[in-house]
Amino acid sequence: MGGLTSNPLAMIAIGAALLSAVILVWFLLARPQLTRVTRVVLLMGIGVLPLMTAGTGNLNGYNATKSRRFCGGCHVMGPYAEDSDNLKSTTLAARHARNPHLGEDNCYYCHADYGMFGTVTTKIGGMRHVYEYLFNYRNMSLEEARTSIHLRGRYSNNTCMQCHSTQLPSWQAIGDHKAALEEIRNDTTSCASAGCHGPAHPFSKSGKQEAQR
Amino acid sequence: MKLPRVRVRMMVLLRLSAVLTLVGLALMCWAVLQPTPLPTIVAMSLGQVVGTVAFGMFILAIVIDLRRDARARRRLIDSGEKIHQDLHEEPPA
Repeated sequence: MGGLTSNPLAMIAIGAALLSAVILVWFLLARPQLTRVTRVVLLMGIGVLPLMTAGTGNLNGYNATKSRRFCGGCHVMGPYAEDSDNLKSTTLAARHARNPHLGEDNCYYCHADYGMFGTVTTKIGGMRHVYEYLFNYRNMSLEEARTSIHLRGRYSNNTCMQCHSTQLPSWQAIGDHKAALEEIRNDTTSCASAGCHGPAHPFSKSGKQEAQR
Repeated sequence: MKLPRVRVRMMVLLRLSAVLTLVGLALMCWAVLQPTPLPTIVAMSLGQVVGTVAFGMFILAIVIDLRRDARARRRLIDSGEKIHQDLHEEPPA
């Protein structure tokens, strides 16, 4: 509730819903005659105001799906979110969480697909996560989750290159970057591999696998 | 006595629509107040469906009401024409 006053979308959604609720409760309890005024008031209560709540609520919902709090809402993701919250953690994810440009939304920025339809494909992938959680991981213990949860595909360097373009002289001045420039750009060497900048998370299976290489 | 039956059906539709709208709004507000996966998904799927069904019922009630009004007006015009004809009809020779 504390964040509600600082979130205009949430305030509009709740305000419109409250107004609509007042109208509808009045209609249900007072049982007024169906005059022209009653019809217009009902149009506001059943049509206009709920549409406003749905619109702003949806926008608010889409924004909420980007936040670390949302990702950590499923218990199996809790340790990953806690690691990002930990100011003393030195993992790649935690360091990105301390970046003011990513901050609270670091999970989304590092796991969202790149490109014109990146947001759409990311949301579709998110629905798969929901399905997997509901049917496979809901009753899984954290110990089991830490060893069995893994990325579905390979983590692409394109995601890193959204911000780290590999073009800047200061980036290319680093010996390892310069030596592996082509492999980094064509995605044959992962930025998040152990020995480079990974593993990104302390519990990630892919991180362990990378470390065993 | 078709007229009162239509009126009752429309009022039931409107009340049901109002109740469904309240349910939809509650689901949407739940997601706004608690933006975690379950409330967000429920609001953006079930909440939207319930709200849309409620709005559809409201539209249906309006259509029923408009048709009822049009039918009543037509009946009034028809009866007016009949009275007009009766008044101007020449008496049989």
